[in-house]
Amino acid sequence: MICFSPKQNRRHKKVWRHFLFTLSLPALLIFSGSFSCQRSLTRPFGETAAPSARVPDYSVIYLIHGDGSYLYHDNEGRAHQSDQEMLVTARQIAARLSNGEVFIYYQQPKKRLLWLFPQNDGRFYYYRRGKLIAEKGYRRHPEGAALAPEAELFRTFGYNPPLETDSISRYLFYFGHSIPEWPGEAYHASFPQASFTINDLVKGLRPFLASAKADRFDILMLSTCTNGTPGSVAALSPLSRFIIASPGDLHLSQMSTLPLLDLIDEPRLPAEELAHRLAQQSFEGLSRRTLTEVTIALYDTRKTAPFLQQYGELHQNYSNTELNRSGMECVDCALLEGFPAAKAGTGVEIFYKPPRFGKNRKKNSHSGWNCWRPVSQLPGE
Amino acid sequence: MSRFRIALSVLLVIFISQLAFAGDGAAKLSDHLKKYTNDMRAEVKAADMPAEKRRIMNESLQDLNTALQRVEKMPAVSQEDREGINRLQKMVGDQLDELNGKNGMQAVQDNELNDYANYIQQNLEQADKYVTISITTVLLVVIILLLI
Repeated sequence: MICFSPKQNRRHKKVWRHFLFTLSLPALLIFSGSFSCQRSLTRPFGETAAPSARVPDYSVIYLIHGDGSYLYHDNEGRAHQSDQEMLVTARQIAARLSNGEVFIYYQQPKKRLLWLFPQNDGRFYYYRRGKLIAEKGYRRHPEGAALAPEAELFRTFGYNPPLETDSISRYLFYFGHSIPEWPGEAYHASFPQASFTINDLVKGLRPFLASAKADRFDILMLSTCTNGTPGSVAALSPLSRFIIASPGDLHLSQMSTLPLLDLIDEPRLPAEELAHRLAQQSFEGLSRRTLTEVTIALYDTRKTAPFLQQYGELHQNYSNTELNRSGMECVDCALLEGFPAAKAGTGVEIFYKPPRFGKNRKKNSHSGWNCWRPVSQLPGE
Repeated sequence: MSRFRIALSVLLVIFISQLAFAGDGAAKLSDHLKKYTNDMRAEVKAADMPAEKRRIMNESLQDLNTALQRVEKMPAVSQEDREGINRLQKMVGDQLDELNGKNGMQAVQDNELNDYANYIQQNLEQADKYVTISITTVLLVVIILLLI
């Protein structure tokens, strides 16, 4: 039997007390965190938020992807996280839109407690007539059907029209990285095996329209790089009357949704006019902030349909390619042989600014469409 | 002894917290590359003479290119990542050519050097090109950059 002196016993007790205290701090953090995210907050910030029974004039959806690298620096060197800033902006706008409802989904990186217990990795906010009705965490499950949890929340909380109605204007805004047109590429940083392509987005958005008993959105804005392409717009055209997208690279400071505030005084603003304001303000803001190329295109999907039907056959070769995008370049379609330039501009309003430096510094126009081509096929390469 | 215990406790808390709230690493590693160009931009802006500004940009871009070349040659790097690295290398190479007026590019003027540093940073930060590079490869690039 081992015996310790009284002095040794006192020292050992001190060490154990200190050790147990040290372990208890993170344990408290862990277990308080695992339960706090599960609650639905129906009275956030001390406000009573009973949903109004009046029919909203418009319905806005923000899908903000944050499961990736969204860090950028401004011209003064200050760091910004564009996904977090977009969330703040979306909530500020939602709190002011007194005539409609706003859904905000913030998709965050995967979190696990001690590598075992999955945590909520999505955050949902629902506003109606400027009041926060619901705020809750949710699990994204990107390995399953795209946007299924988000659609479920939309069904649960959104205004449910009793009959089919076209009186509610519907706007959807997606913020994230370029959405691939074909599979094989990791989109979510913490779910590298999960696929997310334009077709996944289309499938994921259909339940939203079904729940709303609507045929299509009035405006769909993709604040992403390189989704102003025939493949992306053709896939999304059945879902939206107007589409705003960037054919080229897009700076992480993102497109602007501030023109939504015009709906406060003009709740019945025509979608075409609102889409124009969104595209124009996005272009002006990006042009002020950056020295790189800025290309914003507004597509009227009724008018672009004939061009997409014709060019879809030419573009088909690359939709099934096994090449990944690392081996391809996204360039102005006007540079490519066989591109029907005469028809390409129909239904497209293009906002273009060449870069201050680089090979395109003297380019003064853009067709409104970018195309993916293998690097070896680029002219002059 | 008490200072040692305190330090050990702090390390233990940090370690357990990291385990508890382990998140993605790929995005954070990509952020390192962005901070690299931001540091370059800040140094360029702080420099007084155009020659010094050019030296800073040349060295920073060449170090980045060196890191990319070394990683690209590693056998463990996948073909997809190799293509992503090649795209980055081409972008960096074009920027070096324009800085120095080579390969038919018009050289950046002395009074444009601060703006050019901003342009390089914005170009890299907004490029989706390296989103397709795996976390392992990005980690290798970051490590080599730190060692150069």
